[in-house]
Amino acid sequence: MQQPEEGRGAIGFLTTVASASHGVFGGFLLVDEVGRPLEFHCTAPVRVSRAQEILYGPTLHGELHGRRIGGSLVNAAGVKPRLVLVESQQMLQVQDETDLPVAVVDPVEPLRERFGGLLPEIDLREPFERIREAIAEAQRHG
Amino acid sequence: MPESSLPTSPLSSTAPVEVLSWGGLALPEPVPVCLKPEPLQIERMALPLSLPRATVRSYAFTPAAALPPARRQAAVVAGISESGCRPPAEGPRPRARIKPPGDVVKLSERIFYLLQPDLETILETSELVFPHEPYPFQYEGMAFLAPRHSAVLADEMGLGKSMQAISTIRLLVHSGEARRVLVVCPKTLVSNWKRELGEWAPEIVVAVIEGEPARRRWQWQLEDVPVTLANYEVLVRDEALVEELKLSYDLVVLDEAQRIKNRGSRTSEAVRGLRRRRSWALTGTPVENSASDLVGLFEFVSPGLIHDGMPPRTLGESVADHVLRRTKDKVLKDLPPRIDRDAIIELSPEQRETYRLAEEEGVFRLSEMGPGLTIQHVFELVLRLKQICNFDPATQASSKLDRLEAELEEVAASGRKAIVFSQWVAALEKISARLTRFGPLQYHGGMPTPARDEAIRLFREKPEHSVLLLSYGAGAVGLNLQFSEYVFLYDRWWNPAIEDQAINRAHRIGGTGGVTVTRFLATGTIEERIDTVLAGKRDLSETILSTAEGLAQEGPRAGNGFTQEEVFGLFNLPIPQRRAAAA
Repeated sequence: MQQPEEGRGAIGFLTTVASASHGVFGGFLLVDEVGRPLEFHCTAPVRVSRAQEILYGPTLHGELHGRRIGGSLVNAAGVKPRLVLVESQQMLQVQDETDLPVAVVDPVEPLRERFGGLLPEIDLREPFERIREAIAEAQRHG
Repeated sequence: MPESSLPTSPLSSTAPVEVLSWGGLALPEPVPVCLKPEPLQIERMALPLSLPRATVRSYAFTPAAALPPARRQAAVVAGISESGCRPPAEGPRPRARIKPPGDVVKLSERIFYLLQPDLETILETSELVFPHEPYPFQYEGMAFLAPRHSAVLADEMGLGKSMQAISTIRLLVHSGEARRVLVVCPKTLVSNWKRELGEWAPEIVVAVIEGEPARRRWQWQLEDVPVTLANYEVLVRDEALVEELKLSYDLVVLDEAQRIKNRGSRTSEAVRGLRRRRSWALTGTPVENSASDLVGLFEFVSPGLIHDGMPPRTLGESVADHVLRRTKDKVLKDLPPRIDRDAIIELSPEQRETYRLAEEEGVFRLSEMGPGLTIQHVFELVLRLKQICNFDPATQASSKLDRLEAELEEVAASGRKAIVFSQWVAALEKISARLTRFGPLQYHGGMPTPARDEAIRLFREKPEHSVLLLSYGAGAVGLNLQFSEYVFLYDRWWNPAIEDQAINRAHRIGGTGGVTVTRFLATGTIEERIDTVLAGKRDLSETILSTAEGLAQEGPRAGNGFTQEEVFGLFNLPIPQRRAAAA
C-alpha cells in the first residue's frame, strides 16, 4: 500500500448517490492537504430487491451504503487516508469495515476543532460535489 | 417459517331457546357446530438477505508538481487596475470550476478535471498571489482556458483578456503543464504585455524578442525561459530562423488575433507554422466582417475544425466549446461602473531622440537661470516635453496615435463609441486627420457653438462617427455623452478632479454600460513622473491648488493640482531662494 504523503496526509471523502433507474453508486475521493485529488474510487450501481428493502427497513441505508458500498470503497484505496469524512450518520457504519477514523462532515466547526491539523483548508463539503459530478460523468459514459 | 401445531378446541353451543309463536312461525332448534382445524400448509421461501457486492473502479492521479516557494507580495489593494480588478469582496465568493472540454473523450481524463478543486482554491493553496482580486467572470475565463488546447477568448475590450491569459499561463507553468510559452502581439502592445506580465506573473522570466538579428537569434534560443514575447512583425521576419531552430512551444498565445484572419497573409502563415501543443487566440472581434474571419482564426486555433461555406448555425455549434465571449452588459453585475487602465506607450525612436535632447537642453537652461527661474519656465518645458510625447515635431511620428488607432478599430468594429481628450486643439486636429475612417468629430473652444452642438448631435445619432475628440477645457463641463463606453486620455491633465470631470461626460448615472477609461502614458518621460504625483493626489483633500473653474480656457493654469515643490521636483530643481522664502 502506498504510504501517505509527508505532512498532513490524505483525507478521504465517502458518499453514495442513489439513482431511481440504476441503483446506488458509491464514490470515494482521496485528496491531499490542499484538496487536490490523489485517488478516486467508484462503484458500479448496486440494486436491492423490494423484499430486501422491506426486510432491512430503516437499517438498509447503513448496511448497504455504509458497510457494503462504503466498505468496498475504503478498502480499495491504495493511499491510506488519515480520516474519512461522510455526509450522514448512517454512513458511519463503514467503521465496521475499516479501522480508519470516520467522521460526519456536518457540522464543520466541531470537526475542525477536533481534527484541525489533519484537515485541508478548503470547504469540506465541496469535495462531495466533485464526487457526484464524477459519478454522473461515469454514468453518462456507461 | 417452522412448522407448528396450533392448539385447537371444538366449538359447540347449545343455548336454551324460547319458542315464540306468531301465527305458526317457529324458530328452529339450534344446531351444534363443531370446528376441527386442518393442519397448516406452510411453504418456505428463501429470501436472500445478503446485499449485493459492489464492484469498484479506481483512478489514481499523479500528485501535482511541488510548487516553488512563491514570492509573497503585499496584497496591494489599489482600487481598479488596468484589468478592471477590484479589492476582495466580502462574503462567500462564487467558485469557478475547471470543466473538461468537449474534445476530451477519455473518461479517466474527464473525471480528472471534474475532481479538481475550484480554481480559487487551487490559486489560494498554491500561494500564487494576485496583485488585485480578479472578478468572478475572470476566474471563469481562467477556468475556461486552463484545460483547453484550442481556445479563443473573445471578451469585449476592457474586460482583461491579457490578465486572464497571463494568470492561466502562470498556473500551467507552475503545474508543469507548460514549460515554453510564446506570446505574440502587435508591436504597439509589447510594452503593455511586459508590464502586465510583470504585474500578474512577476516570478516568471520573460524574454522579449527585439533588436538586431544576431541578438534575436540568441533570444529565440534561450532555454529555461518559460515565456517568450514577440511581435507579429518580428515573427514574420524570423520565420525562417524559428523553423531552422526547430523551436516548439507548449502554448502559443496570439493577442489581437484578428490580425491573422486573412489566411493568405504572411502573418497568418508565420503563426500557423509554429510548432505548438496549445493554441489560444485573444481578440475582442473574432468576426469583424464575415464568417471567413472566424475560419481564418481557427486555421491557427484548431485547423480543420471549420471551413468556408459552413452554415452559420453549424459554424457556431462547431466552435461553441472553443470560444468564450463576455460583453460588459453580461458581466455588468461584476463590474464597477468604471474601469481605469493605463496604456503604457514606448516612444518611437524619433520621438525618443527628440525628447531626450529637449529634456537635456531644457533642464540645463532651467538650472542656469538661478533666482530668475519661475514656475512658468518649468511649465513651459513640461508642456514642450508633453507635446513631444504626443507627436514628434519634425516627423509627426506618434506611438500614442498608433495605439489609439488599434484600440479604435476594436471599438468601431463592436459598434461602440469613444471620446478622446487632449489639452491641445492642435493634437486633436492631427488625430482627426489620421483617423478619418472612424468618422472623427471635434469639440473644442475654438469652434462656434452651433458647430459644437452639431458635432454632438452627429456623434450621438450617426453610427459612422465612432469617435469624438474633445479638449479638456471645452469638453469637461456641461456635456452628456453617457452613450460613450470608451474614454481615452491622450495626454494627462494636472488636476485629477478635471480628469474625473472629463471622464464623467461618459460615466454618468443612467448610463447603460460600464465605461472603460484608458490613460496614455509614455514610459520613461515626464508623463510618468506626473502620473506618480497625480496618483498620490487622487484623494482631492490632498490637492492644494485645485481650481476646477480655472479650466475656462485652453492650456494649463500654473499650479493647478500641483504644489510648487512638486512642479520643480519634476526635474529635481530646487525652488529658487526668493520663492522658498515666500512659501
